Amino acid sequence: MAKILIVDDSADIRLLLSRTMKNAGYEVFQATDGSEVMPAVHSYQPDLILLDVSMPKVDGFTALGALKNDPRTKTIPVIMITAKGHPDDLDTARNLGALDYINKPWSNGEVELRVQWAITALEQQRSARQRRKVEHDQSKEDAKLAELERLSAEEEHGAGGRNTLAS
Amino acid sequence: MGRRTRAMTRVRTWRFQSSNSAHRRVALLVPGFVAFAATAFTEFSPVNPGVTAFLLWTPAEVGLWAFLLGAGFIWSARMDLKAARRGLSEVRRAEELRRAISAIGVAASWDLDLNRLYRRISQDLRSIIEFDRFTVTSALPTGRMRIEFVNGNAHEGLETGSLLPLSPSEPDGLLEEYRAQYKSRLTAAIPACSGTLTIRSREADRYTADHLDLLRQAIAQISPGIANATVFRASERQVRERTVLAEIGRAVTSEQEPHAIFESVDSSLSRLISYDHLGVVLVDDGDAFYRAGGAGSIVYWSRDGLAERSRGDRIRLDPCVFSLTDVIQRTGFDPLGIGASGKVDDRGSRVWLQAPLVVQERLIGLLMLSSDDAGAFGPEQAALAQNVSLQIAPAIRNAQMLAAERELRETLDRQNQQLYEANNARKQFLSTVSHELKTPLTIISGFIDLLASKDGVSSEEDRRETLRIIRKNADQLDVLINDILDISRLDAGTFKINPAPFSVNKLIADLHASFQSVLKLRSQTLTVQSNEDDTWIDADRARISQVITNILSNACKYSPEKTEINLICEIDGDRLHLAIVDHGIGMTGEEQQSLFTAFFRADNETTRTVPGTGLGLVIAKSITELHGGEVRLKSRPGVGTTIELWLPGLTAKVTAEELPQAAFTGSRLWPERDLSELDLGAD
Repeated sequence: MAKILIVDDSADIRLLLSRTMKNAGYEVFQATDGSEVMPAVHSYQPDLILLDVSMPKVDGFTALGALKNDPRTKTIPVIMITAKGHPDDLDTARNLGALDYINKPWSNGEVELRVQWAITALEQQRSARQRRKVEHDQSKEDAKLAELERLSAEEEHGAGGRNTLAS
Repeated sequence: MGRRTRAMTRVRTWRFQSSNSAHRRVALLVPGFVAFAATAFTEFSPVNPGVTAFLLWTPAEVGLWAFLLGAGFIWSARMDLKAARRGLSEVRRAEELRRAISAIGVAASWDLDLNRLYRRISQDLRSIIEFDRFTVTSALPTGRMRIEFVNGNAHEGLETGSLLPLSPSEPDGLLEEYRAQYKSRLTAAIPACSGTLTIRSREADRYTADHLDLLRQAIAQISPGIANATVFRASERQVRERTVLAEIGRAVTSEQEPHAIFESVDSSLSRLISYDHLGVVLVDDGDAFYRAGGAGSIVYWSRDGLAERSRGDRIRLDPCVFSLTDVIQRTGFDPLGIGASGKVDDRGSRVWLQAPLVVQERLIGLLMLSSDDAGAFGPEQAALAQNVSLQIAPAIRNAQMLAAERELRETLDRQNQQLYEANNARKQFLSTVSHELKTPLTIISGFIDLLASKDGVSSEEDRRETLRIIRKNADQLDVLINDILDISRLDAGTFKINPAPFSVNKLIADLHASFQSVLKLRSQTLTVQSNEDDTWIDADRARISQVITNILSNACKYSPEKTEINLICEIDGDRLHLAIVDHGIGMTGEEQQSLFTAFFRADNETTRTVPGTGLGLVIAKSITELHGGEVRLKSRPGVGTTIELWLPGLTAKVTAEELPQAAFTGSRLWPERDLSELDLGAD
């Protein structure tokens, strides 16, 4: 079950999103401000973060920047939530490394769909990485064998060569 | 050989001439004596019998005769010799004088400095004529004379450079005393500088006609020297003038600030003209000025010592300055010819020189020079001032135009900045409005979706909670939309108030009751202090209620929990005075200034945790002002905020029957809903 962290200062929004996400079958954690994002990420290890832009203490963009600067958390996909919907905000979010951007008001289906898409992509990415890792390991194994073969062949050949020189 | 003979002859002739008449006479007497002796000898010769008796004279008699004769001759010769010597010394004396006079002339032709020249002349003249005081004066076109040079004892008011009337109209004590001191006087004109040379002696009847003749001869010798020196001085002054004018020209082209131009003109011109003050006056209307005088303002006044004038003063300019006859009469020069004019101050001896500043045939102002020295300004100075004013007038005009242009640019920049700020404020407004509207809308639609979905809401309790949230957010939206509508109506000027008499005490009691739920949430208390039992006011009750509600909700929002909020209600003169005092976070001066602008919210952590549109106080202020009242704010960060209102329209108590119906048909009443449901506190 994928873990989702919801960060928003409005209790009602958090309640709405958590119910929607829970209904869609995700495990949900909550944070009320940008300043709580990093501790929450470290303690819950979420697979996806839904991050509100306007929050009182630390806003969403700042929190996003902090997430993407930390190598341990930069791979976690982040979907920004905002009511402002200004093109500049969209650019800011994209430049900072947000995966997606949801404008208020949204329909629940839309949020579900986007989250689902993001999680699916994440899983695919993970499995691909796993496959690559396996393939990589396999190829490393192959390379080792080939090297051994080459070395042993050389040994034989080399011995022959030395013999030729001595004669 | 021949050349040598000629030289010898010349020497001999010179010797003869130098031995002069005495020797010549003696030389002439000797042959005379010989001739006499020869005659006497032939007359009384023993050869001639007629005179034999003569031979009977004893040798003593002959000797006596010869002695007498000889002595007579010798005496006569001595007399002649004496007379000859006297004549010789007179000739020598005359020659010495001639030499001295010509030496004066030679010396005079050597020096081009007038002052040194006069000193030299005065020293050289002493060898010819004795005197106690030597003065050179020159006549000025202003009907005065100036003392150019003095050699002798110092007398107050009679130094070099002093000005004297040519013919004093009234007896001058100083001059009388001076004249009494020097009993003899000899004056001769110096045509070369249109002046006079006067020598004075303390002795009475010291000078004769011969002395005057000598003095005239001396002046004839020095005249070319004086003429040269005068021309030299004039050309030197021209060079200096050109230099200064060039300096002014440079300053005028390089400076753009009028004041810098005036300062430069002041410092340069003061080297050419000796004046006490330089002023520049810009006139309001040049045409009017020419007709009947006019007003202007002093834009520059050097050395602010002159009490009655200083920079920035408005002055009335006297048209009689330009009365030609007056100017010509007083100053002796024609202002039409040279443009500048002079005027003697009526109050004192101060003289003025004024040169018009003319650009494109329009008078823009005057360049004024003043001096306490009555002879300071003559045609030369006037011409110079006119020249300077011709140079600076276009520069002043340019500077004025530049200043006007700069001002225009600044105005445009300011307007641009205001528009930019207004545009930014509009953007900010839209952004805030969209955020504040969309959040409740999202919540409402989201929860409705949840309710609509099959497995959205599991329990009955969840369903009720969901509906409560929807209700709350719908109310929030309502408040917000009403605020925005109010703001846009206030902005457009279509906001209506329907005044009707109502009881302030009743209103406050109602508000107190309705705020209880909000206060309870944050454990705050609202204390009402009122001096009056039953105060009535003629105002829009719903709107005044809105005003107080807005201020009170702010006080609740921005005060910590468990604090007290005071509402003071009293009568101040003919107005109702309400004060809402909280002990909350307060505001800085900067925040207070922008508080009454739409959507402003003080930017700090606490305010960011409190939702709100920032419209409340703007609406409160506008409504109060629509009622003819005023709102004042006092706040200190960390101490608290006090908002005070004054409302006019206090009225007597009105019974229910007397109330006009309009009071009840007014717009929406405020507050109608349960305030505790609104999102007023931090969650």
